[in-house]
Amino acid sequence: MLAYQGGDARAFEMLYQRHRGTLYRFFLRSLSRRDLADELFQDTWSRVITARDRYRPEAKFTTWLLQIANNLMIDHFRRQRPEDGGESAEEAFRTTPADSREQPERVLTDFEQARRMQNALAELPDDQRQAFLLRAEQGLGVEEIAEVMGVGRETAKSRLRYALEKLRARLR
Amino acid sequence: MNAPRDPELDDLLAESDDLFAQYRALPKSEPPRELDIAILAKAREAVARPRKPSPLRWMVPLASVATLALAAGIGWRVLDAEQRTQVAAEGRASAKEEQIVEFELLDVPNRDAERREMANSPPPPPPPPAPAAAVPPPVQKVAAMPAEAVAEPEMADAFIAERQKSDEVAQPRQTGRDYAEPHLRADHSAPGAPPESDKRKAEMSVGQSAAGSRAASPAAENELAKDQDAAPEVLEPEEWIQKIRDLQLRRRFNEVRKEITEFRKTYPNYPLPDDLARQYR
Repeated sequence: MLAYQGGDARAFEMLYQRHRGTLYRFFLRSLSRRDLADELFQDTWSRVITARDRYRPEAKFTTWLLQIANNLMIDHFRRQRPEDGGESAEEAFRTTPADSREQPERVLTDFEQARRMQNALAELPDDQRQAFLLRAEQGLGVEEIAEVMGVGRETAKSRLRYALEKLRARLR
Repeated sequence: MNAPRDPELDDLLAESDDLFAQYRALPKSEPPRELDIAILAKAREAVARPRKPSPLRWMVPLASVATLALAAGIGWRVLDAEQRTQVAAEGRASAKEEQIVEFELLDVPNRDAERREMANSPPPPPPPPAPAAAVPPPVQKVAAMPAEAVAEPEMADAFIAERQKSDEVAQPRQTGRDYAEPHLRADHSAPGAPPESDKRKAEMSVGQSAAGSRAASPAAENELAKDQDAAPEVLEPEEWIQKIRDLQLRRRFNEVRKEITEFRKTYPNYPLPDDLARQYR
């Protein structure tokens, strides 16, 4: 990021390639709508580009990037809460690449498991789902989850624990 | 810095491995290719074009200039205050030395301004000597005496008596002034004979004796003239008061005080004008 601050566009490309998939899935699994995921994904990177001068190396880039993404998502939830609905979890799941469904029996099992997981995630409260996704998708620890979400460690830990318990109960 | 160990959380995460594995089994969705192109193009464009000068860039020099200006202003004020304090201290010191009497009629700012002016301006030129014509020395009275009066003591006495009469005639002009209070005037015209008339008589007697001796010998007359030249000049009360006022206007208060002391010694019963009497008790 510091190289990009200095005007190196290739440095940004490297950063983008490293984080594009995880960030996109974070949006997609949080919002369950591809169009919204696209929009917020693009907004997040636009903000990274615009705010490049404000980036300080004291903060880990992943944390900074996810803070921007999380804030955009919170704003979206606040705006869209009354008319929640849109694309179902199953519809989002249909983005599965075709090559993963080569063997019919396995594909059926995997598909069923993925569908259940997708539905269970969609049923979680927003903050618990985000805590779980930050752990499962980004591999963040509790402290980093707390930093990204702007909450205390205990709050983040509590959200993660509730998310895991609900998912386990839903998927049992 | 390592995160603190949390066995409870570790257990929870260990138990949830199957959940995370299930999640990882979800399809790996990727952003559309169009988004990649758009975002990368924007990133390249952002670093390719020159940056617009942000307001923050101007804020730093502007704030620096403002800070410098503020510091300079404060410094100037502090120096000015120190100078004022110094001038005031010098003024106090000189006041102690010279025993400056403060005027009740002058207000404080004017006094300060005058002090500063005094501190900065060169010392005032010495007062011009009192006009000799305006203050006729006693010897002139003797000299103005007619020659026959000088020659004969009886005529000299008659001349003195006439002169006293003319003085008494002139007296109402003086009493017409503000300081000539009725009771003072009464005191002044009391038969106890005011000291200045005594003095004059003494002068006249000196002149008389001088006239006598002058009549006796011209050498003695010359000697007398020398003595009178050497004698200090004694002014009439009004002229003396006028001289004191001149000194006061020139702010030579020390001399004013001396002159008033001298005046009181010379004319103990002569009433000083109220303002002078009040200020130089």
